[in-house]
Amino acid sequence: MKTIFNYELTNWLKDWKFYLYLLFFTGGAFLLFAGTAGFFDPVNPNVKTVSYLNSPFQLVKIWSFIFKGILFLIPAIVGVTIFKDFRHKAHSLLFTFPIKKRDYLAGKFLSGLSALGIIIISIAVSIIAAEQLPGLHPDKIGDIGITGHLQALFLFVIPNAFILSLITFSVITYFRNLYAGLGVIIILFLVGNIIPNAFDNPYVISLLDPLGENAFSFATDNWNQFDKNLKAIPLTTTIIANRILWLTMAFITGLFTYKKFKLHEHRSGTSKSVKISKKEANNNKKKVKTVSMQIVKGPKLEQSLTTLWTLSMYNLKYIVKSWMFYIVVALGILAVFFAINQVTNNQAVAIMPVTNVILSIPAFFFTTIITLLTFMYGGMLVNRDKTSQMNFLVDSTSISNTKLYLSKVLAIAKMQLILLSLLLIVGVAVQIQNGYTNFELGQYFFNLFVIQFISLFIWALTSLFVHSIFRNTYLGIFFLVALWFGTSALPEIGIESRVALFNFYEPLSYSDLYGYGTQLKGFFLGKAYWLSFTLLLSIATIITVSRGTSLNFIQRIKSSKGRLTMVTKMMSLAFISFIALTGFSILRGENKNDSFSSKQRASAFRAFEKEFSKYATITKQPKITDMDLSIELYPKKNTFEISGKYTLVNKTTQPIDTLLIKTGFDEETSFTIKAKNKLVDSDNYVKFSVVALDKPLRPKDSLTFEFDIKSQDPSIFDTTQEAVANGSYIKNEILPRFGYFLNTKTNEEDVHTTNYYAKDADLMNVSTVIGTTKGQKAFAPGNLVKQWNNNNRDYYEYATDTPVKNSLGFLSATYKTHNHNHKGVDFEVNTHENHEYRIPEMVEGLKASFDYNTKYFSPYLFKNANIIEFPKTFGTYASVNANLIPTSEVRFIANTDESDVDISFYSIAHELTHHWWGYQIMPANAPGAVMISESVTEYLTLNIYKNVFGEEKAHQFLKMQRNRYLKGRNRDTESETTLSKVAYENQYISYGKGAIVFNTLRHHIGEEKLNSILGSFLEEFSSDKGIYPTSNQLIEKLRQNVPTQYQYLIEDSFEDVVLYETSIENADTSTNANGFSTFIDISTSKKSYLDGTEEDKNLNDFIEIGLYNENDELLKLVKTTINNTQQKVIIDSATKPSKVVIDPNLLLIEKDIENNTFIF
Amino acid sequence: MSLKISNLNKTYSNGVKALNGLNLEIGTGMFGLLGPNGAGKSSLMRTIATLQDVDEGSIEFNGIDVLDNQMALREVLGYLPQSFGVYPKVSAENLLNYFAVLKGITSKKERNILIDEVLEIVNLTDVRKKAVSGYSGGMKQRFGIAQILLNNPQLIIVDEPTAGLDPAERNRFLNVLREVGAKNTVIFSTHIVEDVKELCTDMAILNKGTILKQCKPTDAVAELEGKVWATTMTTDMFNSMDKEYVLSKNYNPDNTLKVRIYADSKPSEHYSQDVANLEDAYFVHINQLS
Ligand SMILES: Nc1ncnc2c1ncn2[C@@H]1O[C@H](COP(=O)(O)OP(=O)(O)OP(=O)(O)O)[C@@H](O)[C@H]1O
Ligand SMILES: [Mg+2]
Repeated sequence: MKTIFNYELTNWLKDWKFYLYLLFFTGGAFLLFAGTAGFFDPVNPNVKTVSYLNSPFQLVKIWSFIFKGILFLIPAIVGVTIFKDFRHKAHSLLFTFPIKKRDYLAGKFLSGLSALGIIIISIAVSIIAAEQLPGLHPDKIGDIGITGHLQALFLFVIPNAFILSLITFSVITYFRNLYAGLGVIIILFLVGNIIPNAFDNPYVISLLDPLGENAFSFATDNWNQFDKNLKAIPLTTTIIANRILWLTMAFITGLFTYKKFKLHEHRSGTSKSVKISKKEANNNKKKVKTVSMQIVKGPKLEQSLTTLWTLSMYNLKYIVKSWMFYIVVALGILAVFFAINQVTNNQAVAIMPVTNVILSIPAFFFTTIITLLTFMYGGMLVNRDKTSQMNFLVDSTSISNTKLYLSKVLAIAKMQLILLSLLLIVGVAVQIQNGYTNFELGQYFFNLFVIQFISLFIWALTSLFVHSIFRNTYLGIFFLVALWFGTSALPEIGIESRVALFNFYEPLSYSDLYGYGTQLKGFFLGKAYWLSFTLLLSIATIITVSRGTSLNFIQRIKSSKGRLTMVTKMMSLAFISFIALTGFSILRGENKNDSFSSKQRASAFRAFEKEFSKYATITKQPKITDMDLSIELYPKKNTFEISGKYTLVNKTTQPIDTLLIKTGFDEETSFTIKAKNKLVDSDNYVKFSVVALDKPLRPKDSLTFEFDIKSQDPSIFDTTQEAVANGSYIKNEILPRFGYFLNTKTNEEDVHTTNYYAKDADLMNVSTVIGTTKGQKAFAPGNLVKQWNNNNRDYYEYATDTPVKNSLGFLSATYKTHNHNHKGVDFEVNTHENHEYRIPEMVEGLKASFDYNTKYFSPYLFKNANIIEFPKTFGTYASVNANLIPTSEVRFIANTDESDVDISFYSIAHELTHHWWGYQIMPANAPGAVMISESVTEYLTLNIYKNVFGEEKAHQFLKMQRNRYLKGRNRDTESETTLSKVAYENQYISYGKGAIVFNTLRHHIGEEKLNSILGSFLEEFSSDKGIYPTSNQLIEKLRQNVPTQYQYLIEDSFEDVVLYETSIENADTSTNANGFSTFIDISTSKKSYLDGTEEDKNLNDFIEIGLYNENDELLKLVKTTINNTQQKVIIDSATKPSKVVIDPNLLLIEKDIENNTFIF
Repeated sequence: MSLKISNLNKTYSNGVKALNGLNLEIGTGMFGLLGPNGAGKSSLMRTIATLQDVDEGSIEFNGIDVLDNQMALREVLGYLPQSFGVYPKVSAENLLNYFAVLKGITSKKERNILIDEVLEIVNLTDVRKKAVSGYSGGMKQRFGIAQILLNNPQLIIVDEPTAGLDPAERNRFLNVLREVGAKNTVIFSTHIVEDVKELCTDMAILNKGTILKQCKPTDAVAELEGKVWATTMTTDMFNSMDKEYVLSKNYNPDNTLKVRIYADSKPSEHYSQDVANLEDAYFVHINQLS
C-alpha cells in the first residue's frame, strides 16, 4: 500500500494541474479574505459595525463558500487518482500483479485524499497569512486566536472533504465512470438544497444535510453580533450527530464498494461480453458479398441540415439517456418544486403562484443546474471520441469539423431547452396544484426560451470552446466554474463594466403592470455583445480542431491557419465589428448612467460632505405651506416634466438669509426665487444649491419659489425610472426640498417644531394637475376637482381640502377600480385587472381600522381612502400619502389562504391607522420617532386584527412579531437600541418589539385604559398645532397614567432592552379537597442587554401561568408575582391538568419558549 | 486507381524518425505492407488516412492531394486502425448508424438497408443489437470492417487487422477483405508473412521508415530461387557460427536446430538447397542481405 500511496502522491506532486488547482484556491482564498477585510477599499468611517472575519462563526461561513469550489475538486483529484487506471486500461495489466485489493484501493484513496488535504491546508495557511496583512480594517479582524480556524477545519472542512471524497471515490470505483463522481457531487449539492425547503423540523434538516451547514445555522440561530464575533461553535448534539451520521454513510458506501470491487478487468456482474451463437459459427462458409447499394445524394444544404440534426439527436441521446441525468433532473425539479412551495405556501407571507413569481424563484437555482450540466456535458461530448478511443474512426470519416461542432452545440442547446420546458411544466403544475388558473404562457415562453436561454446558449458555446482547448473534462469544468464564479467576484475588485463581466446581467425584475420595461434593451445589448464574442470563439473552436493524432496547442494554432477560409475570415470580421459596436454602445450607456457605479456615487457624496458640511449649521429654513404642481407624465417614453410653485413661510423667530435647496438626484431641476438672490454655492452631482437672499426673509413673511423639473432621458441601463409604461409612481423626494439634507438630527430647540416626515413643511395645501397618456388614470393627493382630455392626453386635477403632510405620491396606470362606501367615506381600490384576489381583505382592513380608530381617537379627516397598486419593482411596501394608500403589487397577490397572518388585511389596516398615528399626530424629528408612529400603529393593528379574526389568529400575529424581533436582533450588526431611541431601519424593534410591549401593557392595564392614554396624547399633540412630540414624551405620558404595580414595565419595555428566560424545572399534581393542586418549580431570569452588555435585573414581575387539560383547553390562568429566580407556585384547579404553560399569551420577550411547557 | 507517395519524412517530437524519405506507388488490389514492430507501418497508414501530418513529402490518390485536401480523401477512404475503441454500451447497429451519418448518408431508410447489408457481409447480423464494447476481438475487428464498408470506399487502409484472431476468424476476415479488394485499393499491414502470401497481389517491405523492397509476393520468392540453403546442427554449433546470413532457425523434436541461410552458392557440404518462401524474402530484405 505504501508503494502505491507514495507512487500516486508523487505523481500528483509532479502534475502541473495540481499546482494550478493549488494556486487557484490559495490565491482566491487570500484575495477573498483580504478583500472582505477591507484591504482594497478605503476605510469607510460610516460603517461602525464590528464584525470579525476571523471569528469562528465567520470562518465557518467563509470556508463554506470556498468548499463550494472544493466540491468540484474532489472528483478531479480523488476520483482521477483511481479512474486513470480504468481509462488507460492500465488496470487490466495492473491487476495481474500481486497486489492486494485492500492495498490498491487504500493506497489510491489515501494518496488522492492527501493531495486534496495539501490543498486544503494551503488554503488555511493562506487565509491565516491574509489575516496578518497590514492595512486591514480594524473592525474586521479580532484578536481571537486560532480557535476559529481549528473549528472550521476540524468540525466541517476536513470531515466534509473526507466524507465527500470517500463517497465520490467509492462511486467512481464502483461504476468505473468518472462522470459518476461529478454526478454525485451535483446530487449531494441538490439534496442539500432540497432538504431545508422540504422539511419543517430543524433537527431533521440539520441531520440530513451532508455538509453540516444547516446544523451549524441551527446551532447559531439566535446569535447576535457579539456572539458571532467571539463565541466558539458550540458542539451541539445536532452538529455531532450530523458529523457521525455522514461519516457513517461515507464508510458504508466505502465498504460496499470495497466488498464489490474485484481486481478484474470489468466491473463484476456487468460483464456484457457477447457469446458467439451457434448459428454464426455455422455460418462460416457462407458466401461473402460486397455492398451493392448505391447512395444517391440529395441537395447539399438539405443534406447538411439532415446530417446535423441526426448527429445532434445522437449526441442528445448520449446526454439524456443516463441515470445520472435523470437523477439530477428529478432532484432539480424537486428542488424547484419545494422552493416555489416555500414562497407560495409560506406560513408567514404566502404569495399567489402568479407566473412572474413562479419564474423568479427557481430561475436562478434551476439555471445554475442547467449551467453546470452544460459545463459537464460540453466536456463529455468534446472528449467522448478520445475517451472511448474511437477518435481515429470518427476523424477519418468525411464529416466536416463544422458539422461535428454544430451537432454538439445543437445537442447541448436541446438539452437546455428540454430542461427549461420541464421548468415550465413544473411551474404550471404548481399553479394548478394551488388552484391558480391564469396561465401566462407568453410570459413563460419569453422568460424561459428567450431570456434564460440566451445566457445558457452563450455558456454552451463557451463550454465547448473551453473543453476543446483543454481536452480534459475536469480541467475544463474547473476552468468554467472558475470563470463563472470569478465573473461575479470581479465587481469586488472594481471591475463593473458589462464589457468585462462575462455573460453577466443583473436579474431582470418584472411587474405584471408593465412587464420588463426598459431593462430589456440593455439586457439584449449585453447579450448581443457576449453572444457575438462566443460566436467568435466558436469559429476559433472549429478551426483549431485537431483530428487524428493529438497535437499540442501551438501545433493546433499553426494547423488552424490552413482552415482560415475566406468565409471564416469574413464571419470573424463581422463578429469582431459587432463586438466592437455593441461594446461601444454598452460603454456609452454605462457612462451616461453614472449612477451605475455605487462607488462613484459614494465618493461623490464624500466629496460633497467635505465641501458642504459647513452649511450644516444653517438650520433655520422656511417651510412650505402651499404647493401647486403641474405634472406631465409620458409613460411610453419613461419621462416626465413637473413645473410647480411653493409658498415658503418663515415660521421661525429669526430672519432667514440663506436657502439650502436640494433637488431631485436623477432629474434636471431649474428654479427661480421671487426675491433678489444670489447663488453662493452648488454641487451639480448631488444637486444641492446654496442661495443667499439679498433681503432676509423676516419671521412670518412668505416667499414664492418656482421650479421646473425634467426627468433625464433614461440611459439604456437605467432601471430606476419613476415613469414606467404602466404604473408610474413619483414621490415627493424628487421635488425641491429645503435644509441641509445630510443632517439626521435636529437641534434641541427646533425639535418640537420639526416633524419626522419633513423638515421643510408642517401641514400644507397641495393642488396638482397631472396629465398622462390616454387611457391611464392618474392620482395625486386630495380630491378630484376636474378631469379633461387635451391633445389626446388625459388630465386630472386634484386639490386637498384638509392640509396634508409633505409625504406625497403621484401615480398613473390603467386600473380597475372598486368602490365601497363606508359611513360616508369612499373606500376605493385601484388595481391591475388580474390582481383582484385580495380586494375584499383590503377593504375589510380599511373598514376595521376606520371603525376602531374613530371609536377610540378622532374622526377620519379625508373624504376618501384610496388604495392604489404600484409595481413591485418600486418596492414591496405600502405607504400613506394623505388620502392615497399606494400599495405594492405583492400585497395584491398575497395568498391569505396559506398564511398564518392575513397580510393584505393587516398591511392596509396598518396603513390606515397611520392616518391617526403618523398624520393626526406626527412625531418630532428625534430618535425614537417611529415608536410613536410605527409601534403604536402596529399595536393598534393587532387589536383591530383581534376584533376581526379573534384571539387565536391574533396570537399568530403576535407570534409573527416575536419571530420578527428575535430574528431581527440576531441580524442586527450593531448593539440593539431601546424603543425610546429606535431608528427607522430597525423595524424589528419598532414593529416587532413595539407591538409586543404595547400588547403586554394592554393585557395588564386594559385596552380601554391604554387607548385612552394614547387618545389624550394624540389630542394634546394633534398635528395641526405644529408641535411634535418625542418618544420620551409618550413614555412620560404612559408613566403618569399606568398603575404603580406595572410601572416596571415602562422602563423595561421602552428604556431598556430586556429579555426573560423562564422555564419549568418540575411540576407535580396532587388531589386536594376541592380538586387538584399543581406544584410548579419555575426558574426565571430577567436580563438587560443595554449597549451590548448583559446584566441581571431584579425580579418583581407578573408572570402568567396556564393550566390545560388533555384537549388543550385552558383550565385556569393565574397571574403571579415572581421575585426569585427559583420559585415554587401552587395552583388549584377543579379538574386535573395535563399541561402547564408559563406565559401562554407571549407577554414576556423570551428567546426559548420550548421549556415553558410541562406535560404530565 | 493509384496511390502515389513520395519522399515522406516524419520525425516525432521524441526524436524518432518514423518515416524516412519514403516512396511508394500502389495500384488497385490488395497491397501488403510488411515490416517488423516499429518499422513505421502505422505511422505511414495514419498519414495516408489524414490523421497525421508529415514534415515533408506528398501523397496523391486518384488526383487528390491527400495532405492538402483531406476532406476529399476522407470521402473515399475506409480506415481501420491497429487498435480502436467504441462508445461503451452502444449496439453495433446503432453505432453503424452513427458512422453512416458521419459518412454522409442522410436518408434513414438508406442507412437501414445499408447497415443490414453490411452486417450480413461481416456476419454480425445476429449480434447487431448487442453492445460492440462487449464483442470478442474477432467480432470487433469485423465490426471495424463493417464500418469501413459503409461509404463504399476506394481506398481502404487496414492496420494489422489479423493480429489476435483465431485461424477461422482470420480466414473469414481475409475473405471479406479479398472481396472488397478486387475493385479498390486496399493497403494491409502486417508482420505475418502468411497473410501477404495468401492475399496480396503486391507488397512492400518496410523498415526504419523506408521501403526496402516493393514487388509481387511471387516475384519476391522467385528472386531467391537457388539461394536458400538448409542444414541441421546442435545448439552449440549454432552459437559459435557466424549468424549474419541466417534466415531462420527451428528446433527439431530432438533439440537439434534446423537452420536456413541465405547464400549465392552452397556454403558447405552440410547444407542442401531448399525451396525459397516469402518468409525468406522478408528476412533477406529486412536484414539487407542482398
Ligand atoms: N505518437 C508517437 N510519438 C512518438 N513516437 C511514435 C509515435 N507513434 C509511433 N512512434 C514511433 O515511431 C516508430 C514507428 O512506429 P509505428 O507505430 O509506425 O510502427 P509499426 O510499424 O506500426 O509497428 P507495430 O508493428 O508495432 O505496430 C516507432 O519507433 C514508434 O515508437
Ligand atoms: Mg503499427
